Amino acid sequence: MYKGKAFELTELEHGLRHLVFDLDGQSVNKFGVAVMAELAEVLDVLEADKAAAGLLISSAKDAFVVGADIGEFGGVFALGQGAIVKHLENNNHSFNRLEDLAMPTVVAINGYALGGGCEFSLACDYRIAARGAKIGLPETKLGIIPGWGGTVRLPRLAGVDVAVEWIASGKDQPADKAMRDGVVDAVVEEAELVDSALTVLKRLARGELDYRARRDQKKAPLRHVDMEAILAFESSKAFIKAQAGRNYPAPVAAIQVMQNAAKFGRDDALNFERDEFCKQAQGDVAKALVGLFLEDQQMGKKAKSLASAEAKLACSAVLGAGIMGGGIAYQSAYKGIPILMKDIAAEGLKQGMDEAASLLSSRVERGRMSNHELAEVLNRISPSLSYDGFGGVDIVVEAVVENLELKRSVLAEVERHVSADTVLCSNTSTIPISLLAEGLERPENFCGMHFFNPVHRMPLVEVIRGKRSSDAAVARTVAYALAMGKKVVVVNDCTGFLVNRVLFPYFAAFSMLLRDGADFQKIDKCMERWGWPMGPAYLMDVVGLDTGVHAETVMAKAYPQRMTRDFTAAHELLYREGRLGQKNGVGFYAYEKDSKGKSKKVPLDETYELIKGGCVEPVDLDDELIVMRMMLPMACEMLRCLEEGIVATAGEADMALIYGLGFPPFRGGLLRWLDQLGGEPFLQLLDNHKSLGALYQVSEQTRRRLEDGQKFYALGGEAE
Amino acid sequence: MTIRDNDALIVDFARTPMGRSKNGSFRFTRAEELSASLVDQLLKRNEALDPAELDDVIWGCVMQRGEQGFNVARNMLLRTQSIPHSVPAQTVNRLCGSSMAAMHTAAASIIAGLGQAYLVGGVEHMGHLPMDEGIDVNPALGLSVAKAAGSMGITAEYLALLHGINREQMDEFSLRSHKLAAAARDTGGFSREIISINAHDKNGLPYQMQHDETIRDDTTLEALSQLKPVFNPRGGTVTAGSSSQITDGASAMLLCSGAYAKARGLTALARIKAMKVVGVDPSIMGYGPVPACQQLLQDQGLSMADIGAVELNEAFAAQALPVLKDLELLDSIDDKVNLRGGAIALGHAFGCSGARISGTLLNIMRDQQHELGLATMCIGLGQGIATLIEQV
Repeated sequence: MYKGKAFELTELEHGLRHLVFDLDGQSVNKFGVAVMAELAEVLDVLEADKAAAGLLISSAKDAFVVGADIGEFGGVFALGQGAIVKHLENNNHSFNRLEDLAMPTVVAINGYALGGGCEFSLACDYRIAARGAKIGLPETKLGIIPGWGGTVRLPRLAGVDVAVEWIASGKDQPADKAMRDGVVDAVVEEAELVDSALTVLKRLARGELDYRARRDQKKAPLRHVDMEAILAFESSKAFIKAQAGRNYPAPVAAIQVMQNAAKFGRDDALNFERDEFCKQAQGDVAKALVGLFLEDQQMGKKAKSLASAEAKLACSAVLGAGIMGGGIAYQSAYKGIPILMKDIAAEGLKQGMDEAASLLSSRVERGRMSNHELAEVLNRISPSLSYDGFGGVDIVVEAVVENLELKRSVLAEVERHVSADTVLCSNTSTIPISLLAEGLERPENFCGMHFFNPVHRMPLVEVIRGKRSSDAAVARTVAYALAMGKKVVVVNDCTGFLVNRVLFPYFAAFSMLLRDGADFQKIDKCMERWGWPMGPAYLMDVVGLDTGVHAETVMAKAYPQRMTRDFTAAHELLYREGRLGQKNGVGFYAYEKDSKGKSKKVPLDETYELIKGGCVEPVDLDDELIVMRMMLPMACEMLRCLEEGIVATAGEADMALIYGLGFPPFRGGLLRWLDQLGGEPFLQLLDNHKSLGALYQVSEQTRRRLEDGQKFYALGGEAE
Repeated sequence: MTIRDNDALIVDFARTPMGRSKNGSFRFTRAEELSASLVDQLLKRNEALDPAELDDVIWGCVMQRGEQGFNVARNMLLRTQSIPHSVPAQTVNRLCGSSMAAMHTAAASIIAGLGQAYLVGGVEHMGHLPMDEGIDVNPALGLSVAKAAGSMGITAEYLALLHGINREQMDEFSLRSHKLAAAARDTGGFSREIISINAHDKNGLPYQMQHDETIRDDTTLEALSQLKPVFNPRGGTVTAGSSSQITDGASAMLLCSGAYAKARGLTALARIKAMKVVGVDPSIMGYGPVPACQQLLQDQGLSMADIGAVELNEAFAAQALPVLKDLELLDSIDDKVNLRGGAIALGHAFGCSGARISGTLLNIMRDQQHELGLATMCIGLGQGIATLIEQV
């Protein structure tokens, strides 16, 4: 009856119609401009089809519809209000027409029905989901709100609380949860999905089930009387505002839209949604988060393509069973890759196993894992004091203490016990890979694999390509990181690689601020308000003052001009007093267990006494000044990394900081922030802080680039 | 018959089809939703009664936790489309007699002139709220009563033993329940009382459920005789086949005063003429209907011969038969007792059952033109409850 590039409409028996969504040349179905135009044509056919008794909608892909084509967002959003409104109205009009068809409609949801895909299915009368399907409205994660009727139909179908939970969290909901929440009508095995949906459609067409009441409910105002509506929406807003934080306005905006539209029927309610969507879509947060979404996809694709040639990962090994080694062993075993964990001391092995066991127990306690699974995971870790079995491993991660000589000797030793094909990696946070490779028989089999602490929680792994690392070694390391469920950025070799190289200038800026009389607690508050998950003093406590002092020395040796200090930093003074940070309970702050046994940070007045020697008289600095003094050195160092080719693209650079350091996502990344700040103002700020030294300088080349007004990201949001 | 202003009148009754608790049609339907859709449809067919004028909604429910916790009556009310927030609601628990107790409270309030219109009924989703979970029996009960009294099946075994009821009699009684229920279904005996409900079929797909799915048309005496005793595996006689079924269901009844019916032009079906609730020893809880009915009849100056139809909740055949024996109903069983089957065929969704058997009794009385009917049930831990209904 209709055949296009996305949709095919066919006749079934008893006057039923079947619309199959199968986007030509794509692995997934998504709603782009062309698809929307086709849907309108399909509806023309259906509206004119007087013999039609019911419509079944299904997907020919592994997933129903993954959502709107987010790749089109940047372009559309950049064209301003008019273009956005048109983008929304076209599809809203179509979804309304679908909902108003003179026949019952049933949609079969397999795989994913997200965003626009979820909204498409909400416009149908009955929703039948495959077991394993996931449904959700992730728009607020992108800094926008649902735009194709999600804020209108979901609360009218399933209630305000379900709608708030789904929309404000942006989470994918599993099919059985969607059923409990009243969003889908049945959950069936995937193999029976289309037949099941057809059975329900026949019941509807025969009048055995009613669809009109539900259709009316979706099109009517919400049933809440004022007294209920006020509490429902105000309490939700208060709760979600506290959860989302002030830097992420979309979740609360979505609730506000539902509230404003509550007393209106579908058509009027959609106007509220559209207006708010336009507002959010044009904001900086949406630009940042949509950009991040695209960069994240890019990053994933790149890592997968790098890894694709290499899949040999039957068994791995880790050297050193400390915090990092234990964490790596846990993560590998948890993700299904058996791992040998070698240490020189039985006590070390016990610590590593204890670490894994405690992480697993906590999963069991939270009901996320069965006892049987715990045993399976633990059995995948083989602790050993010798190199027995190393002949059969595909990849070895060296994770001994951060010391060049020690690492070199361990690497040389392990190389003698592994096969010629085994890839060796070093989990080092600062030491250049090429330096570690010296003395190896097979430096081509060697690269860096930098995990962040705690390994199981931090999403990023930096894979470092040394001067002599082969593509195959990098490929297998990337594959291993992906198998461990990590985000991967491949960077070129230098001291500190990418993440720590830009982090230490930031710490240096912190030390200078303290030297100049700033209050560390104020700096922390200021940077946390700016969006960092923790301020620099707190972060240094978490990293460990000993680790910080050591890494700084390494960095200073490599970049003496910028990172050598002519004063004693506050954290050095604390370190000399035996304060190591969170690990021994005291650093800038003290760490105590609260009543639930969770570590809690408490301010410590003595700290001020201890660091007084390194500071001038206390001064009260302006928040904005603190932020700039902290951020400028990080930005300058990042620009150097780009210039030196340490990282390939602005997008990867920004993603690495977001995943590795918790850089505030709503800012879209360090370089996207620089784009927003503007080249000229940035250079002006650098000039203002010239007296602070080389950390506040960029190269001539970069300066020219910025003066020319070159951006790191194009208007649409993609990295240049 | 003249209707007095403060007579407690039954205006209408309806129930859901009974769903099997194990993989039955209501496995995806919550107890409040089941109740609310029943209530909406009952109120819809009684438009002369304005839901805003209900003085109270009283719902019987035993397992008051999970979806049935936190006053399921109020939760149910809030899910109806028809009852405004201004109407109150309470949940009552007299175990198996809960919704009959709800009827009694409403009727007593009407008789006392405290209110004019009530919605009563009850629900039990035994599939979602298993009856043996969340219970903490006081060990000190052992100072005076048998712990086994808390196990209804054991009390049934005990009662059968005391009254010399054997396995064959129980199986015959059970077969009768299924046959009568199947016949009632096939001849439209339930058409007035069952309201169809959105449910899920065996494949998990939405459908309109119109009939009880608990009735086993094909059961035989032989099949029943093959079942193993469940409560006392060695030497016991009570089987799953001769026990009330574990079921999900809801029932609802509209009651009002004579004055209200007149003012609103409501046609009443019957009058609640008398009510009685008594206690017995917990170990013979199944015997509760005997003193309840005897005392009720005595108070009214009636004898069983005056009663046209009796609904006795079939907790167990082993319990029903001793009760029928001592109420001198065994000889007239086929004329009077459970003429459309009982809980052995239809299930005993605790909170639902009291209003259900009263409503079914009412429909039998209407169809067979009986003036008086008696509904009675045994209650765990030793109680009996009875209601005398009079057609108007």
